[in-house]
Amino acid sequence: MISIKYLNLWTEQKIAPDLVSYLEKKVPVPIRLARPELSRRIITRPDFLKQLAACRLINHQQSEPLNPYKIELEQEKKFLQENRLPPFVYEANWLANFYQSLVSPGLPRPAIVLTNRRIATFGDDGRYHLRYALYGYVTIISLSGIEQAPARSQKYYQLKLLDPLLAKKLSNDQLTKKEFYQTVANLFWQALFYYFTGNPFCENKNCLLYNFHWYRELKNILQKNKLCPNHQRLAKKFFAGK
Amino acid sequence: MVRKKIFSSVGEKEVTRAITETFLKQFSSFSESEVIIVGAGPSGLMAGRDLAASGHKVLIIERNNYLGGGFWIGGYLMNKVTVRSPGEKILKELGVPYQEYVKGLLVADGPHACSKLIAAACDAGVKFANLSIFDDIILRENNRVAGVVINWTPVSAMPREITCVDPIGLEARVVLDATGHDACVVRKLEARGLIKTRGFGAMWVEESEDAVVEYTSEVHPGLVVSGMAVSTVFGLPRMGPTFGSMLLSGRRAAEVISRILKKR
Repeated sequence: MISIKYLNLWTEQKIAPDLVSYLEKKVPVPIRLARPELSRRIITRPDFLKQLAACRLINHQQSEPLNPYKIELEQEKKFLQENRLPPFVYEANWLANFYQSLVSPGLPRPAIVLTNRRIATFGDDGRYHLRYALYGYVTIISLSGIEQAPARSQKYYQLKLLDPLLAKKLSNDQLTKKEFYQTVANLFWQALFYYFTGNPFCENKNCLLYNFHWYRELKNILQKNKLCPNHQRLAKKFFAGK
Repeated sequence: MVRKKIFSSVGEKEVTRAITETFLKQFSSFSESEVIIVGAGPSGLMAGRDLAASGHKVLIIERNNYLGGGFWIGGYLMNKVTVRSPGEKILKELGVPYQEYVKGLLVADGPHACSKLIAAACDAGVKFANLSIFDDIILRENNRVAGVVINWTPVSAMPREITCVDPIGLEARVVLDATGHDACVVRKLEARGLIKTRGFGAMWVEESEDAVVEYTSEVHPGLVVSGMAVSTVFGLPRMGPTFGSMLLSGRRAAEVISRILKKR
C-alpha cells in the first residue's frame, strides 16, 4: 500500500501564516512547506520568466504556449516582485509542467503548489474554463480560482452587467475567510485522494470531495463539511494513525 | 506700363536648385539617423516630437503625401477626434483646444489637433520623407534591426513591368514601427521567421487603450512598436476611433527608445 510521510507544499508567493496553520490542523498528513517561495526562484531566471509568460492565454482558441516578448517577461517579473495578481489567465496544464520543472525532478509526492494566478483548462465544449484546481504530478490550487471559477447565480450575472460592485454586495456568492480556508483544506483532501486513488472527486454532492461547479454547491459542501461514508472508510485506511 | 514687382527676382533655375540642393543635403544627412520612425500617424509623430525635443536625430517615413494618418478624422469621416483622460495633458501641451464631452472624454477638432501635432514635431526638429514607402528592413549582426529600405510611393503604384526601380537604404540605431494595424516593419521580420505577430482582436476601447500603452516596447533588437502596431504584435483588442493611447504610446515609445540609445 502507498504511504506518505508528508504532503509537500510549495507556494508561489508568501501566504498567510494562519492559512498554513489552519491547513496543518485540517489535513490528515503533516505538511512540509518548501522554502523559499517559488517567486524568488522565478524572478532570478529569465528562462523561468519566459516559461511562465508562455502559459498565458490570449485568446479562446489558443492551442499552443505563447512565444513571449521581452516586455511580457518584464511584466511577469514585476507582478512577482510587487506580489500582484496578474490580469491574465494561465493554461493550467502548461503551468503545471512549468511548476514541475521548478521543483526538483525527484520531487517527493504528493506535491501541491498554491498560486494566486487564474488558471483554466480547455473544456469539451471547445472553450477555456476557469478552474480552482488541477490535479496531477504537481497539483495546482488557484486561490483566485476559488473565488472566481465557480459559477454564480443568474441574478449575480444580471446585476454584474449593470453594476459589478452592487452585484458583489447583494450576492450571497461570497466566501468568508473561514469558508475560504475551509475550501483550500478540502482541495488538499482532493489532492490526497488523487494521489491515492487517481480520482480526486466524489459524486456525492454532500461529500467534501465533490467537484463543485456552482457556488451554491460549494456552500453546501462547506455547510456539511465532511466526507461521505465511503470516503470516510477510505480515509481511515489511507491515513490510519496520522 | 511698368508693374511694380512684389516678389524678388528669382528664376526657375534657382527655385529648382533650392529644392534639389536642400532636399538632397537633408536626405544625405538623414541616410544615417539615430531613429527612423515608419508612419507619421499620431503615435509616430508624438514619438518623433519627444525624441527630437530631447536632442535626437529623427526621420519619419510616410507613404502618403500628407502627414497625420487617421488623426485628421475622428471616425466614420467625421472630423472630431476623441481622447480619453489623461490624454488631455498632451492636448494642453500641444495647445490643442478641446471640450469635455462627458467626464474623462475630451473632443477636439481633428484638423486643429493634427496640424498642431505635426507642427510640434517639426518645431522639435523632426524631418520627414513623405511619399516614401517602407519596403524592407536592414539587418545586421544577430539580426539586429539597423535601418529601413524605402522607395518612392508612386513607384510601388506603377505596374511592375515598367518599374524596375531599386529602393535605397537608410540606417538608424533604432527603428520605430508606427504603421498602425498593418505593422509593416514587424511583418517583414515575421516573413523572415524572426518574430511572430498575434493579430489584433475585436474592438474593446477600455481594455485596448491601457494595454497598447503598456505593451509599447522593443519587440526585437533595434525595433520598437507603438500605436496600433502594438495591438497587432501582441494580439490586443483594437480600440476604435479614440486617440489618447496613440499619443501616450508615442510618448512611451520615445522613452523606450531613449533608454535603448543610452545603452548602446
